[in-house]
Amino acid sequence: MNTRHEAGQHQPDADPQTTELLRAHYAAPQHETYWQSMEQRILQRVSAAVQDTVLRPRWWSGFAEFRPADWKTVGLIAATLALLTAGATFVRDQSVDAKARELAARAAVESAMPLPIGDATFTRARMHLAPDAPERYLNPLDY
Amino acid sequence: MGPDRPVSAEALAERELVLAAQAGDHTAFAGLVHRHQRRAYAVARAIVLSHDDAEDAVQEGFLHAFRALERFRPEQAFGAWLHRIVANAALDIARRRKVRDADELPETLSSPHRDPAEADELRARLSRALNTLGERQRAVIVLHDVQGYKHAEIGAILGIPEGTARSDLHHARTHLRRQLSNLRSEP
Repeated sequence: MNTRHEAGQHQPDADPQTTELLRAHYAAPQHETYWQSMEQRILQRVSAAVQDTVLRPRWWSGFAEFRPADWKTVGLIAATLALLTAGATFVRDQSVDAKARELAARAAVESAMPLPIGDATFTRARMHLAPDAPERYLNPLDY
Repeated sequence: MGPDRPVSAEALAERELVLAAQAGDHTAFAGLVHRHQRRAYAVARAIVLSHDDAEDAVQEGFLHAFRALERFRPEQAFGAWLHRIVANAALDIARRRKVRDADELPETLSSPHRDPAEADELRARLSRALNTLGERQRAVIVLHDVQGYKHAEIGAILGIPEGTARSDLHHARTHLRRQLSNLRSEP
């Protein structure tokens, strides 16, 4: 067992019997073949992890396999997409601007013509008719 | 720590291995594994409950160490640095195991299955008593009484103050003594 103790040596305050039981319980494998195998397993695990890191495809790794013809196609597609995006953005901006202008104009008109009902007092107007009024209403062309 | 402190040939050889491993020499890293695997196992075994988990913790610890090798400063003690990493890997495994086995009976948890001496009542009792100890107290008593580490070294490995290691050791010894005393007094 690979400890710092000599065989049979105990810590001063420790109970010898418990310590012996603990040492038996925690005894490490003794065979050299076990440790050789353990060393191999550790190194295999490390090497597998290293290979995994190197070989795991990254999102950009596909670019390395592109040929010039592929790049041309990709460029054309990208340019088309950019053009479409710019056009769509332009149209949308125009529509937004038009709506904003309309709203601004409406607000300006409404602010210039305030409704005259703010502090007005409403009274019922009484109609004063001329004595011949019914005649005028019935025969308007005669007047 | 004076500048003219003597450096052993062993330490120099290890330093060369570390520097070579940092430069990408896998054979040098294999040399470090060869030198430190037994101690690493002892540290891991003190923390986890089974041999299999200790093996996992050692492998995991060396893998972490390999990945972090470029951050290691060669003037440090490689063993202490590695043991801390292995201890952390073992603590992770112990916590995962605790969560996984939370629904199982304590008797099932405490049995190492592979140990033929389990039939012995005293050992079975010890196994149960260890299982009822907190993982830190268990690690401290094993590292101190079984592996021979000093309090300060245990503190460095487990990331706790030296005083905590001392008090954990005291509590762990008392607990084990109490758990095992009934059986010993029986004829």
